[in-house]
Amino acid sequence: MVDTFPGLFWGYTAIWAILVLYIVRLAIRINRLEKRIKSSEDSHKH
Amino acid sequence: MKNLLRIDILAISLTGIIIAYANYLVFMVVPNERIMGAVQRIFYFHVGSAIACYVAFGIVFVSSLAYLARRDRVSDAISEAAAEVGFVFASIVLLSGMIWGKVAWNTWFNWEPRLVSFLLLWMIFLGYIFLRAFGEPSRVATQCAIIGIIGALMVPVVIFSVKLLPQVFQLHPQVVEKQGLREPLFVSTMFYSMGALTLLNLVLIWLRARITLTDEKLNEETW
Repeated sequence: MVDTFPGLFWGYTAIWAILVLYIVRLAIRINRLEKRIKSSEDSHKH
Repeated sequence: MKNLLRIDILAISLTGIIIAYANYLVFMVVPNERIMGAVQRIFYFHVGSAIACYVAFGIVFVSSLAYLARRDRVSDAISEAAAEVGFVFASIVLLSGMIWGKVAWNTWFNWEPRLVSFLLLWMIFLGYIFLRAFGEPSRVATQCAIIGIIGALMVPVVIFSVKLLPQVFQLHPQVVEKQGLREPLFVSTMFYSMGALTLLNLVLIWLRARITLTDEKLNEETW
């Protein structure tokens, strides 16, 4: 008999997928914010 | 900036792929352990989280020393990020260990060297987080650097504490130290789960430190 847990596998896959997508969203927001700060700093210099 | 986003997406994607593979190994490939059965699978999350938190506290140690030497914002931001993320992984270690202990040995907690020293480590970093939140702004960075160094020095104490008493007196198994994992599939699953959680740990520290630095730059712009 093979010891597999498909219910737990798909449950944890869903949890990990949500977490990874949230981290991607966080990274995009941070990059957007850093870009705005940099362009604001550049406009102050000029 | 575009390159930084590309690096972020690449790092997160790599982490996601290794997490997905480790998840598949844990629930669909690795067999039940002969004595403990299915509950032994908590081991892969428990040990993986422990390694991730030790790496995070190692980063706290180095960045805290760097802050005390140079007094720069980047070192302080990295130290803060690593302490927070490390604390989360330490909490996962405690919780998963307690669940495993209850199911396998009918004990939530035992007052033995490994468990007590790890609880002390967790409490030191809980104190660190409270100090960050409520400490005096002009002094909090230095105080947290000192606490971070002290807390990180607990990590080798935790690792070697399991040698203080013979195994028969301890609940915490010495599986890895005594090379108890002989089945290659168990070993490779352990390494994949350790790798997955450590990468996740590093990505979270990287992003969290940038949030702190970006927040500070925004506050400077406002004022």
